[in-house]
Amino acid sequence: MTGSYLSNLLYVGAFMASGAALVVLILLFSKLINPSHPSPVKRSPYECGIEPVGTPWAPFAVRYYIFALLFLIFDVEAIFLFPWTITFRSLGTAGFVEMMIFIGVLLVGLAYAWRKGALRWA
Amino acid sequence: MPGGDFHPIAFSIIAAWILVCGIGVVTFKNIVHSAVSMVFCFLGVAAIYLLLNASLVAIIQLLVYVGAISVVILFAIMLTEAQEGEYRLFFNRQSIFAFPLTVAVAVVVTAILVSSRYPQPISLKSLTPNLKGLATLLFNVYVFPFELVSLVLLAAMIGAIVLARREDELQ
Repeated sequence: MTGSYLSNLLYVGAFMASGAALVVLILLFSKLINPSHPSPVKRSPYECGIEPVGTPWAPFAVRYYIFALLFLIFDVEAIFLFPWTITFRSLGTAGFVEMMIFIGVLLVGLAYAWRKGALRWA
Repeated sequence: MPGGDFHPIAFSIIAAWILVCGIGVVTFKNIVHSAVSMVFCFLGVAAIYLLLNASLVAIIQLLVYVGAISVVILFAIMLTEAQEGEYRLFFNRQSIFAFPLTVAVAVVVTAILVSSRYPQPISLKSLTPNLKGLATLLFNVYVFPFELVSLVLLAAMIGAIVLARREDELQ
């Protein structure tokens, strides 16, 4: 059991390593075989043919941050769904009701966000 | 100390990975590079959890830390005002205080690890979480705390909306 667990992990690790190696290989290969004659015009970022304005480091609106925070909260909610799915059958109706209450309380929060216009753009 | 099922080679590789990424977080000049290095650090911690046979904790680490916390941190970086068109290293200013503090923490943790007495060697068998048993406990015995978690999350959500809206009005 333990041995097979570690060897399974090794397979996962091998897949990740080969994926990363592929990225490095492709980048390296394209750098090696590409002819490179840079000029200021070539090096400028392409923006639909329009000359770029300002720096790419401009700070952006707080509006985006609320989406990240809401995502974080619903991510934590999703964590509880994992053990729930495993025991869903044996828990029966009680387990279903428990999770519906849990999700229902969080839906109140989503309704609040909706009502306050936090989800609206512009 | 860990018992017979401890994998020193795998652990060493992952620990070295976490260390390199952690040093990257505090030494990269560009703060976005630091944040990306931190994401790789989180990945290493998830690998440690997997090695300890704690797959649920590893999944939580991947989903919450690698998935969500890193996004929140990157957004926070992008929200802050850019200085001279670039984000400069801000960790180095406190390095005089940070270095002795880090060494002190490492010494204390090592002392606790060495001096602790374990009733029996910890093996993978004793660490193996019975996911089914955990879920049964969570949804039967601890169902009230579980429902309370949803209220905590609700409070966090409303707090985030109220704060973000105030910031938005200030701008």
